[in-house]
Parts: sequence; structure tokens; C-alpha cells
Amino acid sequence: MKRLFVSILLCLSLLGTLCFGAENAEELLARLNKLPPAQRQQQLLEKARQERDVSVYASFTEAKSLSDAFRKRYPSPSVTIRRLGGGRMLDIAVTEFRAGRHLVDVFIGGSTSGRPLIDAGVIARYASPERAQYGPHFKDEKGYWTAFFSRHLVFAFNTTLVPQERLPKSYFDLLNPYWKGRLAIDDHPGNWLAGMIKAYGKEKAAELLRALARQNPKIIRGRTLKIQLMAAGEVYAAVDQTEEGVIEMKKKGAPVDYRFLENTPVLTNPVLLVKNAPHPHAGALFLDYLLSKEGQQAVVDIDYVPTRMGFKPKDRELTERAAKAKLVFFDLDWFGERQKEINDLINEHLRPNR
Amino acid sequence: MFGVAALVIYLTLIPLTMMVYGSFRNGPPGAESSFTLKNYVKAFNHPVLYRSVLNSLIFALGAGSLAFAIGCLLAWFTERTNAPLKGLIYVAVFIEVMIPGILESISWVLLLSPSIGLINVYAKALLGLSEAPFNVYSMGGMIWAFGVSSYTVPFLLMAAAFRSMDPALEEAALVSGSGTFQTVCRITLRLMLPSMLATWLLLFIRGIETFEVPAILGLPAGITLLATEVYLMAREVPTDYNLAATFAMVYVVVALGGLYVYFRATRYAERFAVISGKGFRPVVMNLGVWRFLAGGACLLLLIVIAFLPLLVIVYTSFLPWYAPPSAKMFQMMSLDNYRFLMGYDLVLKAVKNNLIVGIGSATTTVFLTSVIAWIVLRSSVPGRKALDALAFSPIALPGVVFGLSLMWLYLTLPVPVYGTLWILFIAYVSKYMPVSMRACNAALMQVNKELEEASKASGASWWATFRRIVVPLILPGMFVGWAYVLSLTFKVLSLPVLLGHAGTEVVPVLIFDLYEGGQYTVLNALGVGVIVLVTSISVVTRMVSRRFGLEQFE
Repeated sequence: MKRLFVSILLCLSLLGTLCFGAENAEELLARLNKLPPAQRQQQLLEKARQERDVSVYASFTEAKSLSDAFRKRYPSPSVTIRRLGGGRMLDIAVTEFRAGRHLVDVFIGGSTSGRPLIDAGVIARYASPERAQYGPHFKDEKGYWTAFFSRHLVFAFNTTLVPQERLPKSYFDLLNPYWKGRLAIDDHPGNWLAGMIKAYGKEKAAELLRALARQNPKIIRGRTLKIQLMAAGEVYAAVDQTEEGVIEMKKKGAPVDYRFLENTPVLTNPVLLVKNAPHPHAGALFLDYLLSKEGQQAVVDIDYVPTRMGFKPKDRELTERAAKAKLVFFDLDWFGERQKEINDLINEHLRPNR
Repeated sequence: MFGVAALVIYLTLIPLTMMVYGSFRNGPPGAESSFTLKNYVKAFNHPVLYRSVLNSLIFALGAGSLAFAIGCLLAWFTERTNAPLKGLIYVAVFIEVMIPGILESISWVLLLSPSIGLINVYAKALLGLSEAPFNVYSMGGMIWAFGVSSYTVPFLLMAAAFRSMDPALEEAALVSGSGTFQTVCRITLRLMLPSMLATWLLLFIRGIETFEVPAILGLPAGITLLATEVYLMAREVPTDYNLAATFAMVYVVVALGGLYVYFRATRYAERFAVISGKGFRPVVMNLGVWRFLAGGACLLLLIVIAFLPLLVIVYTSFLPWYAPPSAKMFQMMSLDNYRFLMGYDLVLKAVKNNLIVGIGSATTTVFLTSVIAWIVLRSSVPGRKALDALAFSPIALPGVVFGLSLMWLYLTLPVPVYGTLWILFIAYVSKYMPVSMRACNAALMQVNKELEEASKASGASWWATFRRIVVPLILPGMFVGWAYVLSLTFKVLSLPVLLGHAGTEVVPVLIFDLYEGGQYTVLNALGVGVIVLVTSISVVTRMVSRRFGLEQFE
């Protein structure tokens, strides 16, 4: 009888520890951060090795190259990457979270899904020591997200079809009758519109979108198809193209180039740690790596634009052009707050027959 | 038998219930939400709903008619005439079924765009036209692009039906004084009504729910379909799950309406039974010297609908980026895209996973639906029509709604399938049951009851009769369902993108990965690889089937 009583007591205490005593990643890493830097790093590394794996949901194809670079630096833990589109990443992560199934440690990429993930309570605040090396455009104050690479939504054009003297300087130049029927725009240009709202205010941005829609642009599904059709001569230019595809095709000899127009939007692509991460230390180690010098070099190596201070893209022409350009930065929080109104504006002005 | 029925109910009713429930809630699965009718108010007040529905109907009817006409014609040539090039037709069917939908749609842009489309460019140059004769960015262009890429199902279903036709019935009509036209109208077409209607229904619903052609060709043309609306809704972040579920209800109504027409037209199943205890051999019509002309016409048709897009894909697969053919582009051709693909570690894994889950789910689906078809057509179980409707309903569920419902279900149920290939297997079996159901149903309708009755009278159990009498007789129909389900697992992205995990990637995820990563020309190389693989499998299958005398698979 006595033995049974002791067993029940032990079970109850274990259950209590599991229910009330388990720390989430945020609390655990906050405690770890109080240690001296060297000791902190050693403990992080040891525990990450014990956890053996880090599960990453990524919104971009090149994530695999970054994980390979991480494994070169840290042979353990291993990295499992699940590749998802931005919108699907949010749907999946939030559904898993609500069902109480914690399968992911880190999100990378996903400039549009970051804020809704934070709002849904999925993301932990984590003060990575590397965050000190990032400017205010690329991190939030609370520690939820840090942008580890960025992209520009440049104006891309076919060099055979568009003469130099026709190249625009601002988005408003695209309202010239010359561009009627010759432009392409994404079927959901949310990020580009966010940039316009940030630069010109909602009224003027909405007017720009309306006027652009009157130019009968080809509404094209996704950047890949847009750039391919532009190189083939189907359209003269694309309003909202990320630069890396244009640069890659230009290097191969395709008749394409790009230009920074006044107030070119900058996309910030964040890394976020999950609050209920099953491998919090491995997740933190991976996040720290992406923000570190080595991680940023890996970002440079895959031809992306690094965000850490002192780092520049591999493509010198891009660096020079970006340095001269007037850019408009908007972060996850700013975008997240306006996501619905951006969606509404697109639905109102860019959808056919409305 | 009843276990199978229970399994079908489980696989279909739960996602369907979740979707109906979702359409009356104001939050996604798992989120706090309350009952609301706002989704319906919003959907039916949607500025373009009625126009979208009308466009969808025009598109689905037009593309369905085109695909049906092509499929029927090719099936008739192959099965009932002595026209040459039958092998080529089969190869074309297998090629068509495996080309990734996105590549096929883009190929038609590259062929029929008014500014860069190769057909337009050459037509303008040769005929001295000032304007392009074709415009792919139009309703006609959309109907063409989807119609000519959907002839596999009508071909396979109608070929199976033509093969099952007892020519004695046609001969009896001719002997009784009917003319050829009258015989075709009053005997041939009427006997094939179940297969024709089943084909129609599948094509129509596929036309309503497909989103690739509407998104790639419709959006630039300013033409929105119902599927475009659902696609755009799923494109927004966060996805409006409830509104998408509400739009899906419109699909369900359309699909069930189509099924009702099918039920009405085929309500006297015994009228269509052409396979009885009497042996027969399908008669092949001797076209005489016309057979070469017929063969030439077939070849021309195949060149236009299958080999031209394939040529664009093969050509692009050797290029660093797409540009119309020129001396410069031919000089730039290389094997780089194929080399890239060889070094891409996801390729082998995705093909292997796809073969495992595709073959497994196709086989299971066909087995389940053949049993359900038997229950619906042969038994007197109450509610059998409802069972048929239930097995057909998943066709109307958009992938994003269906995928999220399944995700939620298996995340909350203590069944450890989430994150494994099993969840994809369950999803494919549930989602593609309608396709296989119609193929099995139409095939079984053509089998006379007397054969089963003879088996039962000889003391065979239900299972023995089903296995030894029914299955061999409806095998061509089952094969159609099997092949089509397998091909869909290689093509459709909406389910694996939600349910696939690291390690369980399938070919559509690989396609998505390459496409989103900007590797369009590499994707064409992958398309060529998949086509070569599947064509090789089909050639081997033909050789094996000949070796074992299974001509019905040819």
C-alpha cells in the first residue's frame, strides 16, 4: 500500500513538472543568455548536439545551400528542411501549433508570413548575440525576428525591346502611354504595394495602382514566369521583380537588365525561432549561425543580399546600383499591420472586371 | 464489402463535413470561431461570383467537349478501325498524362501568344498577316489549352467501352434494315452512354476545378473563373479558409448536379449491359485505302495537340533561358539543365516516394471504388446512391480546403500518419476516389448480371465471384482509373504542398521547388525525364501484356 502511494506521488510530481515546469524556448534561451558569452556558447553547442536535429520550415529553394554551410561549420545537429511557399508556411505552421503538435524549430524567409506567425503566438523572442550587428531596418525591438537577407523589388526590362531613353526613373513614369500593354505585374503584388504605401502614403499608392491597372499590364503568376516571358519578349518590362533572377539570367546572356526606380521596395526576409520548438538549442544555434559572419558569407555565396553590417552582395554592380538608389524599407511589423488593407487594395484595383 | 463501404464513408465524409462546417464558421480549423452566415453573404455578394460561375461553365463545357471529341476520335481509330499508328497514339496519351500541368500551360503561351507564340510568328511570316491569327489569352485559348491537354481520360474510358462493345448488337440493327448512321445513333452511342456520361462528368468537373490554365492564361486576359477566385483567395496571406470552403460548396453543388444527371440517364443499368455469357470479339472496321488518310489525320492531330507542346518543352530543356528558336539559341544549347538535375538530391527521392505512394494509392482507390461500384449497381443496400454521391464528392473540394481539413484531422487524431507518406496516401485515396469511381461504375454497368448469378448458383462466395468474375471483366475500366490516379499523383501540387514533409517529398513538390526557385529551363528537363521514364514503362507494359496475352491493356 505504502509502495503504491509513493508511486502515485512520484507520478503526480512528474506530471506536475511536465505540465508546469517545462520551459519554452523563449524562457530557456533567456536563461542561457545570462551566462558569460563563452560559457553560453559552450552550453548551447552541447545541448544542440544532444538534441541532434533542427527542423526548419523555409520559403525559398536555396535554403538547402545554407543548411549545407551550417553542417560544414557544425557537423551536429543535422538540419531537416521542409520547403514551403510563404502562404502555405503560415497555414501549416498555425494549424500545427493550434493542434498542439510542435514539429518545427526555425522559420526562414517568408516576408509576408512572419507577422501573422508572431500574432498567432507561434514565435519566441530570442536575443541572439549576433543581433547587435544588424541595423534597425532588419530587426524588431522585442526580439521576435531578424532579417538575415533582403531582396529588392526592382524594375526589370528586356534590353532588346526597351531603348535606354525610355527607361523610367520613378514608378509614375510607367503611366506614360508608351508602357500601355507592355508591362507585367505579379498576380499579388503585396510587397511592392506595401513599399509604395510606405513611400507615398495610402492615397497616392492606391492611385498609382489604379493608374497602373489602366495601363493593361499582364497579370502574371509568379516571378519565374514573369522573367522568362520578359526574356522571351512577351512583355517589355516587369514592375516588381526580385533582382536575383534577373542577375542570374543576365549572367547567362539573356537580354534582361534591371533598374532601381525611386523608392524601390526592400523585402526583408527574417529568421524566427519557434516558442515551442522541439529542439530549442539546436534552433538557436542555427539562427545564430545565419546571423553570424559565416552565415552571412553563406548568404553572399548563394547570391543573396546580406543584411549584417559590413557585408555586401557578391554582385558588385548590384552593390553600386543599390548604393545610389533611393530605397524604401518596410519591416514585418509595418507590413503585418497593413496586410488586410493591402489585400483589399489589390482586390479592388488589380482584379479583372471589378 | 461493408467494411469497404465504412472505409469510404470515413475517407470522404469527414473532410466533407469539415468543409461544410468550415463554411459556417469565422475561423480556420482549431481557431476559436463561432457560427456565421457571413461567408455565404460575402461569397454571394462577391463582385464577380456570377460572372466567374458563368465563365467556369463556358470553360468547362468548351474544354470538356474538345477533350471528349479528341479522346473519342482517337479511341475509335485505335479500337475499331485498322488505321495505322495505333502505337503512336498510345505513346501520345502517356506523354500527355505525364507532362506537368504548369509546363503544358506555359508551352501554349510560347506557341500561341499573339506577340511571341511560334505558331503565330510563323503563320504571320508565311501568310503575310499583319495580326496574329491566334490569341491564347482568351476564352477560346483557355478552352484550347485545357481541352487538348485533357484527352487522356476520354481516350482511355472510351477505348475500354469500344473494346467491350458486342458487335452482334450493331449487326442485328444493320440486318434489321437500319442504316450505319442510325445504328451508330440508336445502338452504339446509346450502349456507350454510361461511359460517355462518366467521361463528360469527369471532364466537366476537372474543368471547373482546374486552376493552372485559368491562372496562367485567364488572369492576363482579364477572365476570371471560379477556380481563379479560389486560387487568389489561397494566394492571400493568411488564407481565408472559411470563404474558400464556402466557394467550394458551389463546386459541390455543381458536381452533385452533374452526378444527378448521370444517375437519371443511366438509371436502368441493365440496358447498358453488353458483356454477357456469350463470347464475342470486337470487330475492326476495314477502312481500305482510307486507312492511310485516317492515319495521316491522326498524326496531324497528335502533332498539333501533343508533339508541338512537347517539342517546346524538349527545346527549352536544352536552353539557359527560353527564347524563340534562332541560330544564336541553337548555339547556346547544352546539357547543363540535365546536369543540374542529376546533381539535385531531391530528384531520386521524389520519384521514389511518388512511385510508392502513387502506385499504392492508385491500387487501393481502384479496389475500393470497384467494390463501391458493385454495391451501388448490384446490391439492394439502402442508401447506395448516397454512397455513390459521397464517393464522388471529394472531386469538388479544392486542394487547399481538403488539405487543411486532413491536416487538422490527423494532427488531432491519435493516428501517427502526419509527416509520413501515409497521410499523402490517405489524401490521394480520398481525393481521387471520384475519378476511379466513375471508371469502375461505367465498366461494371456494361457487365450483365447473369455472369455473377451463374457464379453464385455454382456455389461461389461473394468474394470469389467478385475476384474471379467481376474484376477480370471490369479490368480495363479499373486500369483507366488506376493510370489516371497515378498520373494525378505526379501532377497535382495542392495536396503534397500542405501534407508533404522533409523526406516525403513527391514529384509535384520538386516541380514547385524548381519553379519557385526560378529554374524554369531545368523544370523542362525534369519534364522530359519524367516523360522518358513513363513512356519506357508504357512500352515495357505493352510488351509484357502482349507476352501474356493481355491485349486489353494495349
